[in-house]
Parts: sequence; C-alpha cells; structure tokens
Amino acid sequence: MKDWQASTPKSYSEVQEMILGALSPPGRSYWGAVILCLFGLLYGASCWAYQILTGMGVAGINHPVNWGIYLVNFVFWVGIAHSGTLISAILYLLRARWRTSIARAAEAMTVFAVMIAGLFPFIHLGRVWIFYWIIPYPNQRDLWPNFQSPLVFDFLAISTYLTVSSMFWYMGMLPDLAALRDQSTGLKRRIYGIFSLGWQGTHIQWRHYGTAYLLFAAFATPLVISVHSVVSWDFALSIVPGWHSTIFAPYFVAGAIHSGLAMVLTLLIPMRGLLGLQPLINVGTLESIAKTMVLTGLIVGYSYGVEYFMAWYSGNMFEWDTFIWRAFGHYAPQFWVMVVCNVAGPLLFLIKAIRTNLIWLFAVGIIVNIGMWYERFVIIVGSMSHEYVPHAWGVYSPSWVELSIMLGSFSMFLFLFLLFCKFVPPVSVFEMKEHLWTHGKA
Amino acid sequence: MGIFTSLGQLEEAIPLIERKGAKVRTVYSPIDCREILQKVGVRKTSPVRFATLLGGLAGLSLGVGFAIYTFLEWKFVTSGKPTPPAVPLVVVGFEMTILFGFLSTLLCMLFLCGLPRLRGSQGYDPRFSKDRFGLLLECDRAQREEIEISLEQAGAEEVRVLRTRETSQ
Amino acid sequence: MKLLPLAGIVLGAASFLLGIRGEDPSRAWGSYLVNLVFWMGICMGSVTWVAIMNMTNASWGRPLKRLAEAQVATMPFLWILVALLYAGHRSLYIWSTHPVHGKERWLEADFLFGRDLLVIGAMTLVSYFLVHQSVRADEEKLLGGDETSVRLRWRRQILLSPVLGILYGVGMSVLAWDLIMSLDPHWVSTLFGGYYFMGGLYSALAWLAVLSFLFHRREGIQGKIDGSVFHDLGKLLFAFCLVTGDFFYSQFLVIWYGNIPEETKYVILRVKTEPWNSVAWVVLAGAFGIPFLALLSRKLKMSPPLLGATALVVLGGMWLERFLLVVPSVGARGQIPLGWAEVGVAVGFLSLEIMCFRWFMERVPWLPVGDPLFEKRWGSLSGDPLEVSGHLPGSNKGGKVRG
Repeated sequence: MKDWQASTPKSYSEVQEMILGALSPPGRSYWGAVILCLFGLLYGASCWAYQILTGMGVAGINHPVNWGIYLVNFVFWVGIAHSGTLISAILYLLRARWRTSIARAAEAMTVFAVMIAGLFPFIHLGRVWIFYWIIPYPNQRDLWPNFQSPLVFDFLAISTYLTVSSMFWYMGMLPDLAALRDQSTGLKRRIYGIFSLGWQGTHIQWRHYGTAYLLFAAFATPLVISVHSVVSWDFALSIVPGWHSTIFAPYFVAGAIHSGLAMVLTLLIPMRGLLGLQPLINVGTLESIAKTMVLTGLIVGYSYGVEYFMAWYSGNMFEWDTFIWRAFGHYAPQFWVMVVCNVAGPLLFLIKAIRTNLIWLFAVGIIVNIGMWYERFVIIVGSMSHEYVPHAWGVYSPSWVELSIMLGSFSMFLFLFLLFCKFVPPVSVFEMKEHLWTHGKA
Repeated sequence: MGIFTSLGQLEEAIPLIERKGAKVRTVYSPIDCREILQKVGVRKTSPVRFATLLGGLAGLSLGVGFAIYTFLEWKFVTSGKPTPPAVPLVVVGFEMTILFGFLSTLLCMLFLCGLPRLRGSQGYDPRFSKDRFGLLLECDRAQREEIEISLEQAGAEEVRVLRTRETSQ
Repeated sequence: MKLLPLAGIVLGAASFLLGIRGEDPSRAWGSYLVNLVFWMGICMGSVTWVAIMNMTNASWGRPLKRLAEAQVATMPFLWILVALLYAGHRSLYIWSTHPVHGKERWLEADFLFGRDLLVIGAMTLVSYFLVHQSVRADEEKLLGGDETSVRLRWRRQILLSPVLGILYGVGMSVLAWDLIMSLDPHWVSTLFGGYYFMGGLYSALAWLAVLSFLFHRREGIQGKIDGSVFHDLGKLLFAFCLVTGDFFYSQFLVIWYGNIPEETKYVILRVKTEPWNSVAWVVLAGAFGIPFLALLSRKLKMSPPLLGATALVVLGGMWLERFLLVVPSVGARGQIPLGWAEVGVAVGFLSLEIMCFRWFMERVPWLPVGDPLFEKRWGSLSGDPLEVSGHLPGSNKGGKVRG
C-alpha cells in the first residue's frame, strides 16, 4: 500500500476519469473476494435458518444474561453507521473541506451497517415470524405497542435512520449516476439512466437540489445523535447496575463515532490503494480522521472515568460492585482490551508520524474496532451477568451459532461494500469537481 | 446553444446575449451552479423549505398524536407511569418529525426538479455531466447570427443551433 | 460612565454582606454561588471556544477571537471568589456539618476547595498563556515584527488549545460535582459534569453573541463582524441549544424512567413541587424553547440586534437554570428567594465581568491580525497598532460597553 506519485487531477475530466475509472471491470482477485464474502454470508444465513428451525437454545443466551452478542453486534453496527452520517452530513454543515473525498464511501458504510444492524433484533427475536407485532396496526385484540418502551423507540429510530441515510446517500449520487449514464452504452446506460432519474444538471434542478441537500444534512445531524441515544436508552432506562446511568446517551454517541471512524480508516485505506484514488483521498484527509478519533477517544475515556468515579461516589454498593467485577471478574480480559484499545490506541495519534503513516492508521483502526466491540460486550454481558442478587449471577459464552451469524454479518458488510466499490462511484464526482472550481482552477 | 468549458465564461456570456435580445432558457452544468442563478433571474433559495416545515410539523403531530391515541385507547400502565406519559413521547415526536420532514423535502425536491424524467431533451449533450457547461437560449431567427458571434466572443467552445421543435423543457 | 461597573461591584458586595449578616446567611451564599457558577461557565467557556476554533481551523470566527479571549481577565477574580466561598461552606453544604458516610474524605472542605482552586488555577494559567501568545502575535505583527516569531506564537496556541480543551472538560466536571452536585450529597448523575460544561459553552457562546452585537460597529473591529459571521454564530448557538437541551433530556428521561427515589428526589423538588416548578418552566422556555424557535429563522440569525436579543434570552434562561440547580438545595424555604438582594449580587458579578472586559480590551488590538487564519481570509493589516486596533489613547475606547 505505497503512496503512489499519481498527480492530483487538474480538470473536471481528469477527476471524472480517475473516479469512474475505478469502476472498470474488476480482476479475478476482486471476484474471488466477493465470492468468499458471499460464502460467509450464506453460512451465517444458514446458521440463522438452523436457529429458527431448532430454537433459541442453540444460542448461548440464558438466565441471567438474556442479551448476548446478537445485541452486542446490533449496537456495534448501529455505532459504525453513525460516523458515515457524521462525515457526510455534519461535516457538510460545518463546511469542513476534508469531508468531500470520503463522504460517499462513508455514507455507503452507513447504509450497509444500518441494514445489518437492523437484522440483529430479528435474529435475537427467535420467533422471527411475529416481528410485526411491534408495528402499530389495529388488531382484533385491541393491542398497541407500548410507545413508552425504548424498544419501540428503537423500532422508530432505526427505521427512520435506514430510510433517511439510504435516501441521503442515493440523492447524493444522482449527478454522478447521470455522469455514468452519459459515458456508458447499452444495458449499463439503461440501468444508470433509470437510477439517475433523468438528471440533467439544469440550473433549476441544481437550485432545488442544493437547498434540499442542505436540508437533508440538517435533518441527518440530529438523527445521528438521537438514534444512538435511543439505542443507549435501551440500557439506561433500566435499573440494571452499570446500565442505569445518565451519561449513556452522549457516551454511546461518542463511542459510535469513535468506532465508525475506525471502520472508515479500515475500509478506506485499502480502497484508495486498490482503486487508485490516492490523490483524492490523501493522507491529510486520513490525518483529519485520526485527529477526530483522538477527540472521541478522550470522550470515551472521560466516560469510563466518570462512571467509575460515580459508582464509588454514589455509595451504591451494587453499582460499585458491578464496576469492580467488570475490571477484575470473569470478563476482566475483555474489559482491559476495551480500555487499552479505545483510549490508549487513539492517543498514539497525538504523534504526527503515526497519524500520517498508512500502516499505523490501518492498525489503530483495527485495534479500535476490536476495542469498541468489546466495550459493547462488557457493557451488555458484563452488567447482566452480575446484577443485584448474588444467587442470580451467571456467566455467558457465545455459542458457535452466534459466532457464525456474527461472521455472516461481517461477510455481508464486506460483500456489500465490495459491490459498492465497483458499481457506484466511490467518491463523489461532482463535489470533487466543485473543489477544483472553488480553488480557481476551472 | 453555447457550450463552454468554464462556468465563468458562461456567466460572462449571459449579459452579452441578453443585450442582443435573447432569453436564457436553461443552463446545464456538471457542478452546482447556484452562483449564477441571480443572473438568470431565479432566486437562489428554493421553496422546498416550506415542504420541510410542513412535513416536520405533520410528522410531529402525527407521531405524538398517534402515540397518545394508543395510550388512551388501551391504558397499559407500566411502572406506575401516567398514561399518556409526556416524557417519552418527546423521542417519538422527534423521530417522526425527522422522518416526515425528510420525506416531504425529498418528494418536493424531486417534484420541483421534474424527476424522474422519462424523456430526454434534445438540447442535452452528454458532455454536460462531465466537464462542459451549456447555455440554452431562445432568440428570433433574425438575431441568430449576432447571438452566435456574441457567444463565440464570450469564449464558447461550440455553438449549436437547434430548431424550436427540437428542444423540450 | 467609567465608574459605573465599580459602583455595581460595590452594590453587589454590599447586598451580599447585608445578606450574610441577616437572618438567613445561606440565602446570600446561595445567590453568590449561583452567580459564581454561571460566570465561571461563561469565562472558562469563552476561552475554550477560542481553543476549539483554533483546533478546528475555523476561519469564520476569527474576528470574534479577541472578544472571546477577553474573558480571561475575569478568571483570577473568579479564583479569588471561589476561595472566598470557603467561608460559606458551612451555610451551603450539608456535608460540612454532617459528613456523609463513605464520602467523608472526598467531601471534606479543605480537600474539596483545595482541588477546586487547583483546577481553576490550572485553567486560568493555561488560558492566560493561550491569550498571551495570541495578543503578542498580533502586536508583533502590527509593529511589522519578525514573521517567524508570529508563526511560533501560532504554533504555541495550537499546542495549548487541546490542553485547555481537556482541562475544561475535566475541570468543569470536577467543579460541577463539588460545588453544585454535592449540595445534595446523596444525589448522583453521571452526566452532570458534562451538562455543566456544555451549558457553560452554550452560555459563553450567547455572551459572545451579545458582545458581537455591541461591538460590531466599533472602529477596532473594522466591520469584519458582518452578517455572515452573525449567521454562523446563530447556527452554532442553535446547535448548542440542541446539545444542551439533549443533555438535559438525557438526564431527565433516565431519572424519570428508573424512578429510583435517590435520584428522583432532586428532580421532583425542582420540577414538580411548589414553588420551583414555575421556575423550571421558565427555564425550559427561556434557555431552550424560545431560542430553538427563534434561531430557526435565517433572517433572525443574520440580524445583529435580533440575534443579540435572543442571546440575552438564552443568558437569562441559563442564569435561572443555574439558580434552579443550586438554590432549592440550599436551606428549606417556601418562597422563591429572588429579591433585591439577589439582584444586587447578580449586578455585582456582571459589573465585575464588565470591568475586567473593559480593562482587557483597552490594552489589546481588537483584531487577531497575527492569526494566520485571519490573514488568509482578510489579508494583513499593518500600521500603528493603536490606530489600526481602534483604541487611541484618550478616545472612547471600551467606554460604553453597556450601550
């Protein structure tokens, strides 16, 4: 993954060729990777089918840990989704220039991550065929879902997030799909033509599109905060020690952005190399991501510290005991992995040499991903296994079915992302051209 | 129709041709060209904002209203909380505001842009999505030559003449 | 006119001293604490805003830099005022007269005030260094000084900014736990520190908006604070209105839902019982409701007087919010203690801030000419520092600060 000396494009056509050139017919190794991911996906799906046919007993969840790694994965994937929207919507509102080259890929990551996250409540549900009971519809038993429940908030928030982020991503692509249509022939032209909805780039269209895009970004921003706050409230609104804490909403949002940025680094560093996009997604952009991770890592570290301090300060023996057990009990290894990876890892980025080095960036991205997965594990499983009554304490281990489904989810994510890279412009073409224009090169 | 390689040149051409009595029909651009909207006599901000406001308010009232209705319909009391409870409904209202506001903005934008567009217009050149800017204007036959000269003076790379029947907008 | 703030300070001190000699000294100490935590949020928050804008390379806000930095002048006085607060700890804090089991050593007057003074001292020192570098860079630039020195000062500001940011987050949290949360020593909210420092940033931003309105036409600013700067300021204020509201709601929802008596006691006192519930509604409207609705409008954000007025509403709402956090836990009473004595003390603190602000602005260039982000956008201004910065000796420098 060496940084090529490829020159920065200096004209619109160069930008377009560089980005759309990445969509050229892929080689065998690409298809090999896609097939591999497809196998992983199918393996995970078949394990899920096995679980549906056999029953939830094949998963490791039992008393007292009723929420296992299905929900760990749910929170993990929702968290990953948030960075994409942060980059494409929030940084757009803040007029941060470094956002432009990575926004499209980050949004794609969001859409796929939300889709996968949305699967996990179904997987965890067991009796998948009754999922529709959470939808409010008039029924012969005169029942309604309890709008007071955080699980119903979840249903509303995740479906809103999925709708909004996929539409935001798609709308952002319209001018680029039109560009693809115009330079393709035959079937490709027809398909891109349909998806580009006949976009022509007239001044009237740009007028409405520009205003609407700003409004989309303005909606997506509070959505990011609210969705992960809602997910955090799945836990905070209970009275489980270690869960019932007011800091959960901002803590989870910061953690989500932290893990999402790490995933952006993990995905984008290989992508830019393999697709030849180095001049567009330059090291300066990656450095900005790294610097933001220092901030989110500090917030996460602050939250860990505050929770520990308050557990002691409150004088609540259950709370304090849970936190001691987290650090020194059965799940202590996971806890320490979490602390070291999430807090110490990003602090390496304070050193300029590290945050401008591709290998270190990639490595710390992986480290933080692992750390953040373990954080969700420690919070969810760690608290449930050590609640108020000592006789009700118990330990949980994920079964092979759960781990297979988790593997399936990662494969699905990679599968979708690989397809994205080759069929849709991975960098926003028209926004990169605008970059050139405002830099006075046109 | 004048085809330019830069938006700046196109912008300069507009007053030139307007002086000769031609009217700008459409500007085609591969990038966001809202800077020149004023010159073409169009306001920069778009009325989609009203759709946003209306949609948001609709979402808020629908979401909160529906939730309150379900609480009154079936008093499912949990943890001794009041029915309907004001505090959690903030979340419901918030999410529905965003969902409906977003969707109404989206639909309004698509409608105003005339999308999805089933028939292509013949004034459109595929290069407009890559690196060329187009200025489609309307003029009388008599002024045609003058306009062509003005366009070339302004730096048009190419000038094309299209008969009225061919253009559709 | 120049002596008005001094008169205000005397009025404040007098009201306060009368209060503590009266029948209910805790009421006077209560109003002292309210104003102290309110202004600490504004002053520390202001300089932290400078740090944040430095770290994010925000060029839009450069003309506001000096106005925000000016609050550093008040910090040493805040340190003194916190030290003086020690004298009132027996009237204010129940744990000083009845030590709380399990927390005796943490909630112990000497340790508590020691660490708080340390924290405020650290923030003051780092803020001072940050502002010092910034001011010197501008002065050197105006005198046609050495470019490398100016650039070095910018590098130092870049290094100090994250330090201040971290100190602010951690330090203000400690102050919130020690000075406000411990008023009810059995009550805990993990987000309380975060809520306090976000509210501080929000109030500081509103204060900056008010200052921008008052000063944007002054010579020293040279018209650089224009409609677009107000628009951006308004958008940021809107964002922080949402953030502070979100932090409030996060605490409220979790406590409401869990319904655990140790937690709900604090909230119920403030939100459900007489006489505080009416104050709570006013706070909700003033600090969140009205600013939210007002700041949706683009025209309002771009109009300096309207934005300034909205910011004043925010400040009023946030002052009442700090009042609502502190006062219900200070002694038992049936009436809202908001009388002339409280107004006097509030005026005293405001006058202190005005006096320090004026002292500072009279001595520094008003535009951050030595700041590379300013230069990039507005080009360099050179010439006699006093003329360019608009404060000629003997002229109407910062005289009419309060219009």
